[in-house]
Amino acid sequence: MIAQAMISAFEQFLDDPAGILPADAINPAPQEFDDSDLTDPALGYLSDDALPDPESGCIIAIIDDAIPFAHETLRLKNGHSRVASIWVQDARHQPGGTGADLPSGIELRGTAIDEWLTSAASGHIPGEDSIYRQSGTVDMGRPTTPSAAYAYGHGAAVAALAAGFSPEDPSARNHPVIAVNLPAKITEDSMGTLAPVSILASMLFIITRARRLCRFIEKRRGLMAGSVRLPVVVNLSFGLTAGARDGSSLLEQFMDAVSVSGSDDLGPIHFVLPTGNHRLSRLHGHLNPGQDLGWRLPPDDRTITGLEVWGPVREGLPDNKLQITLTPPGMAGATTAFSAPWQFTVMHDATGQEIARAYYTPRYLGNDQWREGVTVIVMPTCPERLHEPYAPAGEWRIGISESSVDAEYQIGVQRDEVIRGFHREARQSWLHDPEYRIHDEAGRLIETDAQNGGAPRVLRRGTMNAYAGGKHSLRAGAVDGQRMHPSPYCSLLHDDAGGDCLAVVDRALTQAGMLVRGRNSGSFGVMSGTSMAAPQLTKWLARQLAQGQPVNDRAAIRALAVTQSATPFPTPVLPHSDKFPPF
Amino acid sequence: MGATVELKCKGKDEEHPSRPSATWDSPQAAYGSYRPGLSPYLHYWHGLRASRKETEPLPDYDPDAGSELPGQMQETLEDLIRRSFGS
Repeated sequence: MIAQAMISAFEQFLDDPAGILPADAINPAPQEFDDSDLTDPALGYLSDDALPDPESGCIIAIIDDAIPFAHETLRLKNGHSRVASIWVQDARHQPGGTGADLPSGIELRGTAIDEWLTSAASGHIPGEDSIYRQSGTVDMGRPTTPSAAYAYGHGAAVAALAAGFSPEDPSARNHPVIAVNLPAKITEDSMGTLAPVSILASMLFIITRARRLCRFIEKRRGLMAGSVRLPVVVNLSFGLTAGARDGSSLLEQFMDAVSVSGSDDLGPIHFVLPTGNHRLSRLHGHLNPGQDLGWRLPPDDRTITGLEVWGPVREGLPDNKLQITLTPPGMAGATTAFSAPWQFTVMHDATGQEIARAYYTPRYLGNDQWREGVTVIVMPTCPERLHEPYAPAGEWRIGISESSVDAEYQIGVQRDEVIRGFHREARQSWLHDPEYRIHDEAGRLIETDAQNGGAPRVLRRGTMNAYAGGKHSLRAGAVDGQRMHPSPYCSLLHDDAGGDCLAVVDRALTQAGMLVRGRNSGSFGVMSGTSMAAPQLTKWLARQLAQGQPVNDRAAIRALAVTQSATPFPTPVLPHSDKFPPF
Repeated sequence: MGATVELKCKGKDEEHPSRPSATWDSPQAAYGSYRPGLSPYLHYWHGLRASRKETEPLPDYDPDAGSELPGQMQETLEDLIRRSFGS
């Protein structure tokens, strides 16, 4: 039944209209999952000498790119890997390999990773780099960005922060790791708009493999079936800068539902996400009907530019649908005429060329509660190919039509930047309101709406990661180690907090970033952002759960953090050390 | 602090009658049924790849064909949860 469930769930993943997966990554004939993973040594999740305590283990799961599964911090002192399973979604599919039930890529399990590590340790293969190459995780001959080859990629830093332990640390063994390497195209797309299906598939994989790992432990330890129920903490250091931010997206609802429903044969599941990095990026605002805002699109942007409008929660879907007025630079504006959900309409300039699109995407929240939404997509201001449509750069204006229901509407601009190491000629747009002030009279950044004064329609409050609006996911914000105050970039929740918990990321206001581990053991780099805060919260929470702390929800976890924090208020900063461990 | 500026939505013939007009065409349904990951962005990407002959184009739908999608999203969610914890 599990196998069938996995295959059917991934049908959506295989239908890949955005071309996220290379053709040779597709598994042409997914097979049903059986119980051979419990009996065949080649399919084992962990060595017997790496199994966690059935009572006090806690699985750490990571969804990211460039996961350094051979890294020393993911091994035990005895040399065995703590990585029970990793799914490399866009690796070239290897028929007959592990993970035959998966729709694409390869799966590597702990016992196979142990074999690679043994070969490297004995000198039969030349070190960690060859493990990534020979396993198919890094293949420089393929037309995808090989982020797993980077000296210190995003996922390498995140994985080591979330699940890395000194091999000497006896508690390490209680934290087996399940990970997913997302396709390079997901990381490349800074808008994050292609990610939801890959992330949903990743979560299904993690839940399924976590349950199988529990069965594996029972089998190897001779325990009663269903008696091992390890908790799981999932780190997802990804996000969106535009969305409803109310937990109503499919991904947020799924995380909330999984967090509360659980399973008879698996412990509680917690999701940890970054609060976001765009407090001062002018990507968030609000408007009432009849008002509009400047929206500045830079030239030479070879990617689309996205903006979302979300109305208030209301009973029923109104007859007078939400309509937006879009005004391109140098042109007269035009107002949409939506009449039914999931309609789209194309904007043409005077020559008939397509310059933008708008989609009407209301969400049903249950109990006759609705939220209206409109997504605007402006064509690239520099076409990627000569014959393709493009839009003028300059100041566009986005407005809410006076015919729309009288209420406050949230405006969010999608992130659109170049991710370091990836080819994507993106340029970030932003909202413009003359009342929004960037600096005060002394030249310091203005970090809150209250400090700004006036009533700008561009806001700092509520700039949180649009994946993190659910009721149960944990949001981690970043502080600098000198002020112990949220870093200026750290987004704000709806109540102006920098997250549910905070973690030290930046060394000081003027010294952004922290030392992070690279892909290879012993390598390091400097990275910043709340992506580095989330894995610190993940690891802290996993350790608390392994120690038997009875924390089941956001409020209890935050309350526990308060008791352990040297800076507990207004938002607890997690305990930290200034020292970078030497291993 | 910057001066307060009242920004008003302008009709296309107001204030700048000489400016060329941008126009929206008649709304069409983007999809006829819901599935995970479906979004305006994915619709755009699908169309772009179809124009490059890299995938099949999406079918044309009646303007009201997407009316059931919001409700179908709830059914999809329940289905995903059932699959995650199926025994």
